[in-house]
Amino acid sequence: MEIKIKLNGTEMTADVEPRTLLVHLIREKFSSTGTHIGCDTSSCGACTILIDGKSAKSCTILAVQVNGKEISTVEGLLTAEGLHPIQEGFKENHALHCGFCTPGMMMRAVELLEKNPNPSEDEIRWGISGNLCRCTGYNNIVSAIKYASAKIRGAELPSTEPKFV
Amino acid sequence: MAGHAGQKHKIRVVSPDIGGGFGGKVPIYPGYVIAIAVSFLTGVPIKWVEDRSENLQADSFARDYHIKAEIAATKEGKIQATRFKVLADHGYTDASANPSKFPTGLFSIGTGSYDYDTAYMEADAVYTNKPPGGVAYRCSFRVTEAVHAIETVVDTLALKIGKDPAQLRFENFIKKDQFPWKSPTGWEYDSGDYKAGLEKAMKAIDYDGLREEQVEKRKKGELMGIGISTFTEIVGAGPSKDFDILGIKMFDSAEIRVHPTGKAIARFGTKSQGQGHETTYAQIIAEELGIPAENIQVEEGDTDTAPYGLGTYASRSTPTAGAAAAMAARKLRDKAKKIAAYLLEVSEDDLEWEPGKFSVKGAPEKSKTIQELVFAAYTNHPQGMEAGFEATHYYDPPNLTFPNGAYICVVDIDSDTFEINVRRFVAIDDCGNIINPMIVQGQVHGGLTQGIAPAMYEELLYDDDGNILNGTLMDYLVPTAVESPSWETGHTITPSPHHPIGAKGVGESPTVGAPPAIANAICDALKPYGITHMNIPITPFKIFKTLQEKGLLDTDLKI
Repeated sequence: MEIKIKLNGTEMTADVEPRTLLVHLIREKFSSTGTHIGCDTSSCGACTILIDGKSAKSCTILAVQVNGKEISTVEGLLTAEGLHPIQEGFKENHALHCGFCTPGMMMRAVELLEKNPNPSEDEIRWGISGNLCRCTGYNNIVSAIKYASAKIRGAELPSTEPKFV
Repeated sequence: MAGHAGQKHKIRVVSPDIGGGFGGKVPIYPGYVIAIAVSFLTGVPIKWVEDRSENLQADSFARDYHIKAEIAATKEGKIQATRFKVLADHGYTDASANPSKFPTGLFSIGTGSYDYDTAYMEADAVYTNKPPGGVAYRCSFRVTEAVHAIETVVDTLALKIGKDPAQLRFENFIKKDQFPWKSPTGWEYDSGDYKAGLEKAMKAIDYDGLREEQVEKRKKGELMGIGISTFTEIVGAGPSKDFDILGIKMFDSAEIRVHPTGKAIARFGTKSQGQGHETTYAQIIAEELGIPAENIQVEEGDTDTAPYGLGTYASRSTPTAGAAAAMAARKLRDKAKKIAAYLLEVSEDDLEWEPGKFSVKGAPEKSKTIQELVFAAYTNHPQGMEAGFEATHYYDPPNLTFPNGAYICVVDIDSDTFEINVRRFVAIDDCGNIINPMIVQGQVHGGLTQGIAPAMYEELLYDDDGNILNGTLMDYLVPTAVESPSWETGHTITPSPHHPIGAKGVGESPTVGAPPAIANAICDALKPYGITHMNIPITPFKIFKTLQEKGLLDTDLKI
């Protein structure tokens, strides 16, 4: 089946089998391997992308379902102006170790901040609860999202120095 | 595998960035062997992909240890002896890393941080029809199990004799001046200051204030618990007299080459899975050589270019390869000194080093930077000296390192639903000198979440026919950001006396130390019911069932 999507702002077409999953289209046909496959069952969130601005787990969506829609993946975060605030937040706050969950975690955070530019810690934690991270213990991911929130709002950036008791 | 086939020189293993390992990637899985064999047979590249449900059903597992722990003490609570009897489920085959000599683990550290001299431990390993078992999951072969046994039995002792568990620990700790300390099972703990760690944790969490709050809560029938774990870890395998894999000693290695530009490439026999080796190793070399860390490229994971090494696991990268990095850099500094003496026309004894340059004692204006000396190593070195500026070091550690920590956890348990809320968790770690505080803290955060997991959530469940009941990540509860509390961390610093830069491993400490702190907190909260011990994972349903079976559900909680 011929489908047409906008991937990170670029019109793309592809001939896909009806059974092709969206994540396979993105990774294999469009070679955007920043979107990861962690569980195949929409439990872990590594494959999270945005469909028309709404976060979704691309491992359990058929490619044909997104015909005519706009898809954003982690590759689209970097612009000519530099890192996206959420990328900067992750970098500055040591919010990734192995990096496997990071693309999905960042795409989820992008939507979270779009809807709620100034979330509380609790709202952040519930907001990313569909995305698993095995390395970081989440503390620094929460800090990264707070940092991005401040950056997006133009507020004073929180310190990125590690806090010790 | 290549070694077994006698074809090692023809086989190249390249490992690009891989996801977190945590021990689960240590064993050789049948899929690896089959993929290689199929590739040989068909003559085409073969990719083997394991999906998540296969991973949960058939990957190696850890922690199925059933331990009977006994502790003997005086009436005042001075520990006299411990006895552990273990029944260990290792599935249908053992999943350990297959070192032929690796004597640490349960037996080596089961006596914990306490000063007593009599210990007995025995283990029966059984084969079952489960997947390969006994993988060293984020600890050096059963350290987590050993620490859980000693730290929970110490709390049971405190409960039985009616002594505060912090006080009991202070009275039994190995003291700072007793190090190096020979343990009852024959190991030599290198250094530690357990008292300082626990004091710091108690202050950070306001232990006395919490105990007062608990008294008030108990008067109202509310369930609040405070749990402590003051653990000792044993990492950095290992000294060649004790450790080997098929006879190959468990050293690790570093190779540094500084180009004429003054910029360096450093290669290692280890492999980062997200632990930040690229940063840490570069910092070690930068500190020793005075070259900026950003000018040092770290490379791992290619058997064609890496020096021979034994890999990353068991918190051994900094204790072994990190040490090798410092030693290789020191060899280079020695060479730089010879070149400096030649260029400045003084004797080596007349030179002094400050990071980045050698200068003449008493005449600091006469100096040569490390970059100038490196350049001279290629362009203007003394007659008879080998050109170039590179060094390799294979580091055989004289001893293991013994990082340790003091963790305190506060839980509130709902007296109707038994929902457990971890209100606060303070972790004070001592991993000796810290190379990169942000990375160490990141490792601790992640390890703590992996520590709460077996304490409260993760367990592979099987029905009577051996079918797995939670074979997806929907049913097997890996903690999310909601289950994971906001960790509060800190450190004390007691350098390792034998490590070249005084560092110890840290990656596994939090996974090892956290479960007993949580279990102890939950049991402390359940004290009004007379509960003194529960096996992990402790879930609300398990609490309900335990109380129901014991007929304690209607207990008057006000004490």
